[in-house]
Amino acid sequence: MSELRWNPLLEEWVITATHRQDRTYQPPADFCPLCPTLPGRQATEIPDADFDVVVLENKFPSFRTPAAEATVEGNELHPVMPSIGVCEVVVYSPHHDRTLSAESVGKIHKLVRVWRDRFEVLAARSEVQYVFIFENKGEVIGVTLPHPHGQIYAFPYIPPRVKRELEACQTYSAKHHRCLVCDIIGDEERDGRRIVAGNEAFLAVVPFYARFPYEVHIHARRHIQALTDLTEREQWSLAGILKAVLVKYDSLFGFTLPYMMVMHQRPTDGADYAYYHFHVEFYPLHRTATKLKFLAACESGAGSFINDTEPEQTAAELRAAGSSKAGP
Amino acid sequence: MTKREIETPDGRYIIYYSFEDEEPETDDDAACPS
Repeated sequence: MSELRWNPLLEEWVITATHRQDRTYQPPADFCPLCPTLPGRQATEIPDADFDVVVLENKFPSFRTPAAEATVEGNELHPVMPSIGVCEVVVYSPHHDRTLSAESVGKIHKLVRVWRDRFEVLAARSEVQYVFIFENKGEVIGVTLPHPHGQIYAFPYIPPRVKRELEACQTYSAKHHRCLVCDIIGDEERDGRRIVAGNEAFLAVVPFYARFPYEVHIHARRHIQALTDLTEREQWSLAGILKAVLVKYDSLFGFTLPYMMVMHQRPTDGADYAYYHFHVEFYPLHRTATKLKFLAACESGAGSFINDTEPEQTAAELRAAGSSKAGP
Repeated sequence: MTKREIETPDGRYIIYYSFEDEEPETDDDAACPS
């Protein structure tokens, strides 16, 4: 049972998906549903081991087509909308213990090509207005299955955080006749203190306005709106910069760092978003090796983040952390 | 890139992506054209 419930105070949808309460939670490695099925063993979600990357429809989706039956009826004050859309799981590897940071740039490049393909396929669906590619990594983030994987939510609406970015970019573009993110990249390069890594097509920074201590944003240097705008060489560059950031994360505290990774691309509702700018954002929760940043009252109730660190300092720590060639 | 799609008994799709002979696994440095 699932539906979208409108919050008139914040003017945003909340996804209600009660069936997700029953999803598999941290099973033993021998019972991992995302490992390929082994001969003579219990069947998993993936019958065949012969793949580089596999994409499957989420067994416990927040959106699906046709939409699940709603649990309630809406009214004028409390509108309800079907939770139509698609939720996919992207399994990075047949190997249960290999994190994305341990994969080669060549393997990450394959993943970039799969992300591009899924964006293109899902964007073409009439019910989809926004394709959200993301990864939750690590138990502290809330991951239910440790097997290396990401997810894709094909939304029937533009999610609120992206909508705010779109509005800011549109307003800035109308006022200055330039792209807001292009100007942010220029400012970060002039300043230099918050740069983490870079190559010819991408720049990774701890943003001036970081909300999490080791938050990193990877900006495309060229003004593009989506993965599908990347040239072949830029796809390699994206793989290289992702590898570089992930290796730094895993070198920071001596353990593989949990994080949320999100891709912000143009919506897929057919409108013109030439003023927007593709980027990838990472939000690790750790503020030290042993302390986490929690979203407590100020963050959750007031919507205002408190960052206990200086982005200039955390960027310096990440610059000094382990290195991998960031690619072309 | 090749895609092979199958359907699960409960009607969901699984898509296997393979890159045989297109981009062989290489070490990190060699993976990036310069």
